[in-house]
Amino acid sequence: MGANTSALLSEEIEEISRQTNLQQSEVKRLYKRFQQLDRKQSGTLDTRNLLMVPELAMNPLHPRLVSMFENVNFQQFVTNIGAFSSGAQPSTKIDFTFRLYDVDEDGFISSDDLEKILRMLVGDHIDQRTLTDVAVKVIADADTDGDGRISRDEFTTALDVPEVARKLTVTF
Amino acid sequence: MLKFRNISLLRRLYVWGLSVITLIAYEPEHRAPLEGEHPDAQRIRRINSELEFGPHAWQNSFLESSGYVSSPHRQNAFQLDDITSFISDGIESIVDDTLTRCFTADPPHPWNFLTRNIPPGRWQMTPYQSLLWLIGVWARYCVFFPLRVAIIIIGISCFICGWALTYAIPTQRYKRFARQFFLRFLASVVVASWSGYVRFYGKRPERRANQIYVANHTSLIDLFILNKDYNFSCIGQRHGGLAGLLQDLLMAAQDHVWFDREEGNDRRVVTHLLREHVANKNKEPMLVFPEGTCTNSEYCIMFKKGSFALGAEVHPIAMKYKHRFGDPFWNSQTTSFPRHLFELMTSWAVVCDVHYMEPQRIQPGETGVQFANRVKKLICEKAGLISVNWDGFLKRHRISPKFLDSRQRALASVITRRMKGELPRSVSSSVLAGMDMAYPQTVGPANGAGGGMDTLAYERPFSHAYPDGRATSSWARRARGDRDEGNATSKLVRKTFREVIRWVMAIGLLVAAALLTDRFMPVAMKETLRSRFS
Repeated sequence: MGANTSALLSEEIEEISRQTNLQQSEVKRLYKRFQQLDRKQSGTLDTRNLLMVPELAMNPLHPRLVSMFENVNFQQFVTNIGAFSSGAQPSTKIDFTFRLYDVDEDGFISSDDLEKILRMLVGDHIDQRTLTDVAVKVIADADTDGDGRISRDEFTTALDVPEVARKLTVTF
Repeated sequence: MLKFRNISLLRRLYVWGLSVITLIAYEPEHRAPLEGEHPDAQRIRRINSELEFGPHAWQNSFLESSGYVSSPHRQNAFQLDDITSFISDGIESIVDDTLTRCFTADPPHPWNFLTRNIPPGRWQMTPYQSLLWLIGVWARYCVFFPLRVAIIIIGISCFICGWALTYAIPTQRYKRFARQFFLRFLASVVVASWSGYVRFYGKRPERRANQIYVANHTSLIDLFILNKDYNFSCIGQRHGGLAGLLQDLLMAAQDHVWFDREEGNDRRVVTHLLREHVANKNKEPMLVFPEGTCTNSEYCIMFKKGSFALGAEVHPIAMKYKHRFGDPFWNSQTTSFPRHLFELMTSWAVVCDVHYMEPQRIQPGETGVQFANRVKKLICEKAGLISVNWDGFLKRHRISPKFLDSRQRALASVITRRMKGELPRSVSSSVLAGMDMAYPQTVGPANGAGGGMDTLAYERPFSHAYPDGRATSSWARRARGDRDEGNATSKLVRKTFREVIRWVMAIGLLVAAALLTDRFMPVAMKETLRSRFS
């Protein structure tokens, strides 16, 4: 009868919804979506299928976003998405943003990281010198201890946390 | 003629009966929200306008949400929180995107016993609902399905005999007439095999030179439904398997144009064939599905401009299926055509409204794309579809990087202007002017804005394309309807009444099912059952 063959067990749903502070209905909806994105039913997401979503492929930051959702299974997928629910802690939202900026994953935002992000944003419409100038200025503004890079704490101080958290809330 | 073609008394009674039962057993029918009242209306609108006019709307939302506007004293060209809008945007599109939604069939909400499959997830039905549903499954597979197979076998035999007889007709004109009749007959046999109940509205097509019919597309079965009423020639993708066989059969009988989408270079040939066919008065009118692919019948994607640039008179046809009785959407990527037909034959019914609309001509100064959009808007309004501007091509291929590039260009211009200090608070008209060079088609409205970020300037080309008047009024209508629901007592009475009828119906159906099984079960089977249980 064509019934759904790979349904999520109700215990799993409960488990995941407890861990991530999401409603069970939300977890179910996300599971349906995960199956849609995972066209080959391999259990993890891959870059090609993610970029088949045109709205994502049009996003200037898609290389970073895709790298954060690449090869994730459903559990990690929900954890990542769960950071954007209205019930999630502002710190997890900030954390996601910080990880996004931190391209080389060394725990700090250096001016190289920032330059790479800026390059994604503007494509090849601004020359390298100008971008470096912008990046250095931003780093200098946020860097309070003078080591030339932004740590997690400095990042939090530089941002208007409640405002950013409000903007990073997505309904699903 | 119009009165006669809507006669199908048995099916009408059947569908009416089904809807009465659901009305008592469940909530009133869920109507697909129109574009204006859709929960994601703003997002759909933004994407539409971006695909059509460039990234203005998107840039607008970026600037509004970035910290720059709210704190004018921070003079950096880039703020760390500038990227928040991209992140939430990206997450939103990972969670749900409007393109995928055009190509997925959602089970009707609220779930009801007419639904073909058990909804995914846990078993959420009450015992009463399960009973009703199981009886429905029994009826669909054990009663309707054999009946429908019989209809198709008898019908096709009749068709073959009739078709063979047409060879004996000496006069060319009558022969043609007879063949057209038999093709229509074949189409109605196929429609009858899924208890298809089609209502036609508007003026029946008549053949003239230089006319072309365009319709929205849900499944290959659209062809049968339209051919049941009038003989059309079609243009479409070549399929394999059973669908391909059907196409060959049709090709033998009529002039159609089939092409292979993967062979890119035959586009020119197709255009040429199409033009020739349309100009020839003696051939059947051409029916085109300009979406280029099947969408579920709630959304309508971009119309390809090809058939609108021929200079022919365009006759729009709006088709709207009622999902409640059976989902006609054919996802050719996951379902084969025989499987799709089987699913339709084991559903309750296919209910479809077909509206023939006033012919449209391309207006002076209008491009093919604008004309296509105008016709699409007419069809969407008539059929109550949500219009999105995605190209059907994106179902299988990645979006062209030029859309990303145009966003990057817009951002680059914002950042350079901020560095020069030209942009103290929000977008100035100079940015708009820069953008307009990239998107010449919006020169008029955006330049007229004068100074500052005039939202009207963004909205104007757009609100012209998607007027909300109708959507708002229907919303208001619905709100009024809700208020009329009445006071608590009448609600209680109605509820009790409904409950009583539910149980009476359930018991009645059960008894009827038992009696029917008893009546039609072979004697030998009965004996075995009796001996087993006694």
